[in-house]
Amino acid sequence: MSTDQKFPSEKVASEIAAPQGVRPLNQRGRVERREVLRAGAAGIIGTIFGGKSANATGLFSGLMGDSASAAEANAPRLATLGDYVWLTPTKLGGGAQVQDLATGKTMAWIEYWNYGDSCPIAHHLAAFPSADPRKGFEFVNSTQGGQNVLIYGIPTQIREHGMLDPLWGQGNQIYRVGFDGQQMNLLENVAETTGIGLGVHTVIFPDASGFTVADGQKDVVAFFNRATGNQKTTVIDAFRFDWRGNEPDGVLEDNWFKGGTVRVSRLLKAPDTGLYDYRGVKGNKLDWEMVPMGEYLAYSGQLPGDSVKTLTGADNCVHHPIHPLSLVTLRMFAVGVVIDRTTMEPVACISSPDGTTKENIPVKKIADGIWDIKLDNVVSSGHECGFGPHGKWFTMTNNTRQNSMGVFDCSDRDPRNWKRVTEFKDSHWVGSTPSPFHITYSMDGSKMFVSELHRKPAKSAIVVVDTNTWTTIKRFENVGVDLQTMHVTYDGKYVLAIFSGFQRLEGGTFIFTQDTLEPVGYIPNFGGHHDCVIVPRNNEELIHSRCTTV
Amino acid sequence: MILSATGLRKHYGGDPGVDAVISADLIVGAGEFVSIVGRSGSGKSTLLAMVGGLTAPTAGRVQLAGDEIWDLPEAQLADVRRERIGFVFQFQSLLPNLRAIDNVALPALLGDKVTPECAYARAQGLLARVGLSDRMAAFPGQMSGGEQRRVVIARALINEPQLLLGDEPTSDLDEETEEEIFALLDNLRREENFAIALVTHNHALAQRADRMFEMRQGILLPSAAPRDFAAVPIRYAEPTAPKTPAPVGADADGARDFEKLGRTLWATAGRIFAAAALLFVLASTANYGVARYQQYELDTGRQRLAALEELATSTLQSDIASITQLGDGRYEVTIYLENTKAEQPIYVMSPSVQGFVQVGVGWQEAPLTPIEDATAAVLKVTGRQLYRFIFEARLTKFTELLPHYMHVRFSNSMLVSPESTPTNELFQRVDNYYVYLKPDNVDDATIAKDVRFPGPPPLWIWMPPH
Repeated sequence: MSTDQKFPSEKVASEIAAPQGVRPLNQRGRVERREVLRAGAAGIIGTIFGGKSANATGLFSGLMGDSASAAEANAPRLATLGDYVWLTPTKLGGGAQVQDLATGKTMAWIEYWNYGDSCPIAHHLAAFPSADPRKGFEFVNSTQGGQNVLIYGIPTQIREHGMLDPLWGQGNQIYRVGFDGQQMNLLENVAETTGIGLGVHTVIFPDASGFTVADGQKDVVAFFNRATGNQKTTVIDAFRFDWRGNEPDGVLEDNWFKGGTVRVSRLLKAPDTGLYDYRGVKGNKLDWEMVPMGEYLAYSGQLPGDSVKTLTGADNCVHHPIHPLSLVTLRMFAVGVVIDRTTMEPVACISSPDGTTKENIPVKKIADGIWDIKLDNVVSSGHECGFGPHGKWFTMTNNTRQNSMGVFDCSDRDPRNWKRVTEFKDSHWVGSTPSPFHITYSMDGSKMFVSELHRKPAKSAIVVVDTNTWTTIKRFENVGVDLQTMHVTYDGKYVLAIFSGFQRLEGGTFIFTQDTLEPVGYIPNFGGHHDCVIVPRNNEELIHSRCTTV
Repeated sequence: MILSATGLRKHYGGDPGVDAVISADLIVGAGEFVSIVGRSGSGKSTLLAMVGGLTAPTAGRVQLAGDEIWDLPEAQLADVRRERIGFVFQFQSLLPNLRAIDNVALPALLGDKVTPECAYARAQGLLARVGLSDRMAAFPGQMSGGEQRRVVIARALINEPQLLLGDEPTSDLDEETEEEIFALLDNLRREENFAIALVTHNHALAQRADRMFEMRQGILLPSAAPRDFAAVPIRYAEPTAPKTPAPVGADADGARDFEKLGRTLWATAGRIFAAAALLFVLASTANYGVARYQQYELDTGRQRLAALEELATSTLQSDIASITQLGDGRYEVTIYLENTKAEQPIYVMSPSVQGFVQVGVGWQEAPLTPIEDATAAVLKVTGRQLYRFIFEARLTKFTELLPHYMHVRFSNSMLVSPESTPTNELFQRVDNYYVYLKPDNVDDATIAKDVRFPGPPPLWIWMPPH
């Protein structure tokens, strides 16, 4: 480490730097604002000294009246965004809200704690098609485990106050909600109906006949038949994924990186109740959600839970737009296990990172309802993924160690023939962060939009990729803190990207044009959203919604 | 006879109202000088106003050289007032922003009977005759009361009136000056042959008129028999032929000025418009150029700030690297700063780090002392660099979000610049690192009863910056 005493002051930024008014204890005095400003002739930017915005209006703006500023000129008029209904969960707020993009008005919202959930964390959601969403539609919204409140640095007392009930205070509820044109109504808690409580990605089948919910804390993925109105949801099938590392007793990270076997098990209902036994904390391998970069906690033994070493990170399940195939991402290995929905059996496994021994790994059936997938080596974790809207390719992010994306040709009906055709890596993806995150595609599939996650306090970016050449054609820098999922308006005009601010920092929706890739601006969005969908009006639009990508 | 006013009456208000003038008959011969005296409020000024075409009488007639003035349309009446009657009031009534000669010439310039050159030439002559030949270019504010009154007289005579009406023209002057003015008026009358009807309080002066009248409670009464003016011919106003005297001095300048304002109005306006248009084009062009430059500066500034933010928040990474237990509630906390693009140094004012432990729903500060390199004032970060601190967490009571563990926040405030001697903006970055920290006095077995880990309970648990 070297030091450089040219900096004009030896005093520490305490008064100006600490928004809570805290005092330094490290005995180095305080920064004099005057001295700092003298040093930085043009001032300090950042959290304290925001500069007044300026406009290039020439000499005579004062005489002629101020013209519209660039920000005003570029501000989106909501009516121009199209005749769409915009659905977003409120994450730690514990609910969901629906906005009319034509007017900007919030049409209705729901808060799950009003229904007796003592700690709902509204996580991911997906909406079923509705011919006229303004008159009504239904959606499913998963909630995370309540202990996830404990990992954001919030000085909470929910544990002391007894709000972490294993069943009603630990999340893993799956709420089916109906909007009736006036208000939102809680129609069903699918977890209560079926006995399967999961808390991460909710993804609807391309024919809208059902949906999947996955959960990387339990390593369970469930396939549900769709119910409507007062009907009750039923389970098509559910699978659990467990890891048996080749070297489970050595250095903890070797438990995964030295290879091993993924066992896939079909879950069974309890004979006495007719329900599955995976509600609340039941089945949790981890006490906390494995957030982005949470893999490091697993590698270092800092992640509490009953069965950390068996962790696979079965975080999401997306669906091929044409073939009846669904792919379950196992984050710890950056592989995708493909399940044939006609047989409800895993049939193939593809590996996304560069350097793995096999790109398409065999799935071996051990017994009825039990399959093994042997991974000789593991080189990186993964996270999100998605099928292109035409079903020709599939991409998956490789995170932590590679920060790239594997690109597969998935046009074949038999996923055992899917091949990794290339790897996409943006020039900024160096080191552990920034890293690729959520994925969506333009309506014609010619572009892939990838949210690029930066560590706090940096703002995330969006990378636009040409899917013909698999090269970056545009980057939107500094979009917002903790950028999440994106969604394209179904007329193909705009892309909306929601950012949640790590639950407590800035949040909003950033908009840019799909074709010309010009930034349009921001619209307000309140609640630290973690997901977003534009309610589809038919199955064709559903393909571009929370169906093929996460 | 130049003036014949008969049966004049002026009534103000309705019924009963007030009769300012009840009955007045005034005949004035050409070149005659009549005076009117009377107490204040007796109706003298009202009578003069009716005679001068300023106030319409309630009854009666006023003929000026045979013309019934109150039968004339307003426009013609205005011509009569301007061209055939001169007024000298008891107040100054000079335009303060015009020179003496301009004030005198103005009534002639307002008509179209004489050229500006003629108007200024006559004005020059009149001012000379009232003894102000050397004060023509003076402004009213630069003149004495007597001088101003002389200018007023000259102005009243500019159009060669047939009748001069004076309403207390010398009332505010000293006796000597009043005598001078009176003598001047009388001399001019003789030279110009105009009639004078003079209202005054000064009986001594009034008695020097050809005839004297007295106004008593609205009734005009003769005080002395008029002299015989039959020999004095009536002088009717005649159109004045344009004259072109050689313009000299101030009067010539005034004439030229008037030419610019008058006859050349449209040409001048056109030139002004063309000049304004040219100026507008030049100004618009300059404005466009300035706006372009401003936009360039803004864009450059935005790019610089964006690059600085990128440098300070993305290129520079920071977090807890490790924590080791020293015993007695003391921990060594290591924070790393990493420049992920080592080719360009990042300068950081050494982190101002504070430590807090959650107690209740608040954060209680606990001593955190920098050691070794962490005490440096400015750090040049070129790679991954470590700072060590001693954290003293000797709390007996704290909130256990994770059973038995302290919930700890380390707050790190930094000023970041790409320059060792910053000349542009600095970026202030404040990080909060959250960890769970195992207290000294809790053994692993106790923790393991409540929290399961894949190995021994870790000393600290890092929470991802998510």
